[in-house]
Parts: sequence; structure tokens; C-alpha cells
Amino acid sequence: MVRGWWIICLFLGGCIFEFHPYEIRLTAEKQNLNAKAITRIQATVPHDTLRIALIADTQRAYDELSMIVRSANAQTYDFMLIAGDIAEYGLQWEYDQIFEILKDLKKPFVSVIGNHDYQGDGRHIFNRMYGPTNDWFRYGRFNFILHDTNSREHNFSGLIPDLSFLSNHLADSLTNLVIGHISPFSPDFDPNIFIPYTQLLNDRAVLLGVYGHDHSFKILKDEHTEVTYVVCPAPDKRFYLMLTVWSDDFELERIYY
Amino acid sequence: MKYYLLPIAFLICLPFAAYAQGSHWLIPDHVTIQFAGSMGLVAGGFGYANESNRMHLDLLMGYVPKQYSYNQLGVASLKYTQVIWRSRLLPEPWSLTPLTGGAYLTYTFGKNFRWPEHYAKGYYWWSESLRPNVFLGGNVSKKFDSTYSFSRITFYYEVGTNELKLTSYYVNPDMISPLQILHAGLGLRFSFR
Repeated sequence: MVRGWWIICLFLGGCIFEFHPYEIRLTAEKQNLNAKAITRIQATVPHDTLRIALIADTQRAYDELSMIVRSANAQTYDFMLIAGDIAEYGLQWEYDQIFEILKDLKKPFVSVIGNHDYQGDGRHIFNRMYGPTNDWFRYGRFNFILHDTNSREHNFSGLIPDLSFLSNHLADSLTNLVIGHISPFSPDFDPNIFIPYTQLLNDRAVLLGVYGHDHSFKILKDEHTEVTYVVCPAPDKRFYLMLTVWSDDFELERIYY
Repeated sequence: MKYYLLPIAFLICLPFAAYAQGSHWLIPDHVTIQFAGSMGLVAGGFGYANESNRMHLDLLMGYVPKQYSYNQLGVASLKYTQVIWRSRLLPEPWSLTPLTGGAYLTYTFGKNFRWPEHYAKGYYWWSESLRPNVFLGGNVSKKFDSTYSFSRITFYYEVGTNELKLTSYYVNPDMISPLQILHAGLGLRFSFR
């Protein structure tokens, strides 16, 4: 009988008293992850050349993500960028599962929001867990812009991505990289903003745009502009990208796992 | 808050209306209050039982205060509970039900929770507002004599999951244990008859 109760207690203890699928109950460890990662990044001395791991669309690929973490931990690089769609349904439970895997990364990781992260109150879970959907940070000679490009989640309002935010934070004296979830070439990107967006990135000499969403690896270029747009593969493609970037050029390497 | 006042008002009024109308079949057999279980920090409502007290149908209104979510949330739940195994282990007036099972559907009110509409039909196959859950549980109850307002008080627990966590488990059986997709709830049921 005593043993029976012990099993019941263990069983109940293993469960969570969840209030709602979209509840936001985050321990301090799981809050402001982007800001904490940026602080860690900026605490190290930047080299002229950066190596950055690029992943996207982790969604329900917990097993592949844990392989990415193991593979990345064996690499020499500065930090990881996650181009959105961390979760599939936007549930805090999912954000938690992904965090439990990502926290084993030896290097800092910075994320942008994807359309799946928006589901339900998922957008607000992202805000509390990772930080603002539009953010930026500088590291050495590089300026990184994290921005929300999920136009369709805003019914193509013309406000997402926020061009004035971009314009205000692109730095003319630094090498600019922009990271979003939906690339301007996707049908889910606001068609009314396509031209001003790509022109702004070109005019302000952005070296590289990094995105996800399409699940396949693509290098896209608009014929009228100089900017290169990289779409990261989803984890099921069994490789991720390692970006090596200098002040005026870059190189992409596929890391298979 | 205002967008879910109407269904709350309706739910609160229904039993009283039933008394007033003398519609005995509408008079609830019990009232229920529940903690957690993915239908609110607390949820309360009323329900009906069959003659043998083995089948229960509950209508519950749940509430999540702002400190546990982005905005306070209102959740309406329709829950069916079936007694699977009732034991005679405990002496009268106590009663032990080691195993119950059932399902509930929760509906979250609010503009953040809707049927998907931004993407092409079928892009998001799930609904943000409607969440089906299944559960197993158990309960202990005590019978009271007729001098009390309640003839029986039941303490129950239940452990369940929803379809989204189930699909996440289904594609990651090696990464997460089935225990990780469960959420639990505790409740009290006050039966009138």
C-alpha cells in the first residue's frame, strides 16, 4: 500500500497544474533570453570575422534540434541566430520544451519571432521569454537587426515589417545584418512593402538578410539590389548553416548532422 | 472582460431559471469547482449525473488572472466524466472511485483566440480557441444525510492532455516522456441528490 501511494505521488508530482495552454508562467531563467544572450555576446572581444550558426523553424523538431545543439557545441563559433518559428502552436509548454533543448548550447542564442510563435497568446509569450519582436544589437563592426516580418499575421497592414524601426537602427558605419522570419520573397510577406523594404536594405548597404519559414535552404537576390537574402533550412533537412562574415563579404557552410 | 460576461451570465442564470420554471430535468444535480486542468486557475459550474451516478456532464466557466497570462482569460468548458471503476474498499459513508475517464472541450474567449483566418484554409489545422482534452482520474466522496444541503461531496483529481501536446509527443516519442505532456486538475463536486 505504501508503495502504491509513492507511485501516485510521483505521478502527480510529474504533472503540472496547467491553468491554460497559453498561460505565461515563466521562471526568471526563462525571461529576457535575447537580452541575456546579447549581454553574453558583447562581453567577449569581437574579432574582425564572426562565425554565426543559423537555424530556423524548430517547431516540433525536438529530436533534430537536440542533434543541432550537439553538433554546434563541437563547432567554433560566436553565437546562434534563430530565424523564428520556435514553437509550432505558440504554447508555453512548447516554448519550454525548445528552451530545455537550447539551454544546453555552450554559445548564446538570439531569436526572432515567427508566424507560428504568434498563435494564441504565443506572441506575448515570445515577448516575455525572448524580448521585443523588433530589437537590435551591435557587436564589433557588426550591427544586427532583429525584426518581425510576419506581415500576414497583421493582415498585411503595411506596418509589419516596421520600416521606420529598420531605418532608425540600420547603422551606416557598420556592417548590417537583418534577421526576420518571413523573407520578402515569400507570399506571406506584405506585397505592398516589398519594394520599399528591399530598397531600404539596399540603400543602407545591408550585407545580408537571414530568414526562415520556407523550410528549405535558399539564397535569394533581387536583381535590382545588392542585398543577399538567405533562407535557413528547417531541422528536418539535417543540416544547418554556419555563416562566416567579414565587414564586406560572407561565406555560408552547410553543417550536416 | 466584457466579451465573456454574456455566457457567464447565461451559465449562472440557467439553474435559477430551471428552479423558477419548475423544469426539474434542468435543475442541476451538482455544482463543481475545479483548480487548474488547463481550464483556468479556477473553474466553477454545474452539471448533471445519470441515475447510477456513473456519468457526469459539467458546464464550467474558468478564469485565468492576468499574472498567469497576457490578459485575463475566460474559458468555457464542457466536460464529460465516466466512472470506469468504483471500488467497495471504503466503508459507508465514504466511497472510492479509483478510475474515471473522460473528455472536455475548452473554449477561450477573446480576440487573440480565434479560428485561423489569416492563412489559406488548412494552413493552421488547429483552432486557438477550441481545445479538446482527454483525461483519466479518480475520486473519493462522502455521503451526507438529508439534513445537509449536499447529499454528497466528491474530491476528484484528473490528469490529461490536449490534442496539441499529443501530436508533439507523437512526433517526438524519444525526446519527451508521456508524463511530460500531462496536465493535472483537482476539484470538488457538491451533489444535491
